[in-house]
Amino acid sequence: MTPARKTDSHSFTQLFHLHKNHTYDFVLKMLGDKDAAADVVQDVFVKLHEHMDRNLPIEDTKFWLFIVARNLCLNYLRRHRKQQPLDSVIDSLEHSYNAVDSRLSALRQAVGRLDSPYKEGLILKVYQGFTYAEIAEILGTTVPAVRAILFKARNQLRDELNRTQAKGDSYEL
Amino acid sequence: MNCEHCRQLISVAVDQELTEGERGSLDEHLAQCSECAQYAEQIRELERLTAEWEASVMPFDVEQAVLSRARAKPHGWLPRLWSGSYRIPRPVAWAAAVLLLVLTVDAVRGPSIPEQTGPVNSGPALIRPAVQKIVLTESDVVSTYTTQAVSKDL
Ligand SMILES: [Zn+2]
Repeated sequence: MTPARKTDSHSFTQLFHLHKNHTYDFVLKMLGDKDAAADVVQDVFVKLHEHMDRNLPIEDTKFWLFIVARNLCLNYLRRHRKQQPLDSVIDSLEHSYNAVDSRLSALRQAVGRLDSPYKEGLILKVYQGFTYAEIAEILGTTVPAVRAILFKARNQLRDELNRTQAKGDSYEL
Repeated sequence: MNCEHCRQLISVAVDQELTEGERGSLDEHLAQCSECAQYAEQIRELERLTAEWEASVMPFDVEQAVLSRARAKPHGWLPRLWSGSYRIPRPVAWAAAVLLLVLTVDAVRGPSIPEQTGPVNSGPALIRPAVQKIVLTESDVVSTYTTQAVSKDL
């Protein structure tokens, strides 16, 4: 299952510039908060630096970064679960947006409410373009499980957006 | 094929990971089942919406913060051990933990000669502070081991 990959021999700075944007985008979509994403993504790359400093092997840096980023995001979300009421603040702000923005912000909020592993599975597939086999490796699971994860994630998003629509928003899904 | 299986395959189809056989049976079911056909249209609409959520680029200040934190990391095993970023290899950590446990138990029990008579010499008193110091290190070793186990799982 694990594809053969060449060992990375780049310096930290090279690897950082190669991977900074997709790692940041993943962390931001996972956390839905720019300050939190800034903190967590820093920790991800500091871990990479430490790992390289200790001359520990990394088969594939991109995979390694996503596995570390996913774990740090889940730790963060676990620690900050109690601070959810922010959603209601966002909800009230969204009302002044136009129809297209409100569809998108409804989607963002629905993604934000997905539990692990549905949220990571969806983001890794839709926004990072990983295959099912690659997602299985990052999440430490099997391809049939990834199929089920993506199905449930989409089902939940569809249900949530239908509910938002029922509350009176101006789009159809 | 039942509707539940069909709907799972709709998600797989969106991800372009269907096998040839699955493609055939999915099309067959969708041709007969209007509810699943409607569900498929909703999932396609969801995909169009998710595609509108654009990718973000790491802000410059975050980039600078990462690079300066990486540059500030201490080098060499002693400063890194002090700062907590140096991991002791797993077998070494285990061996050290076991050894220290034995030493601690030994020190608490005191000298192994049973019926010692006469004034107690200052031996154990000299040993105990040293052992207490080591016990502190032991907890460091154990917590270091735990951290390492976690980072290995990553
Ligand atoms: Zn059906």
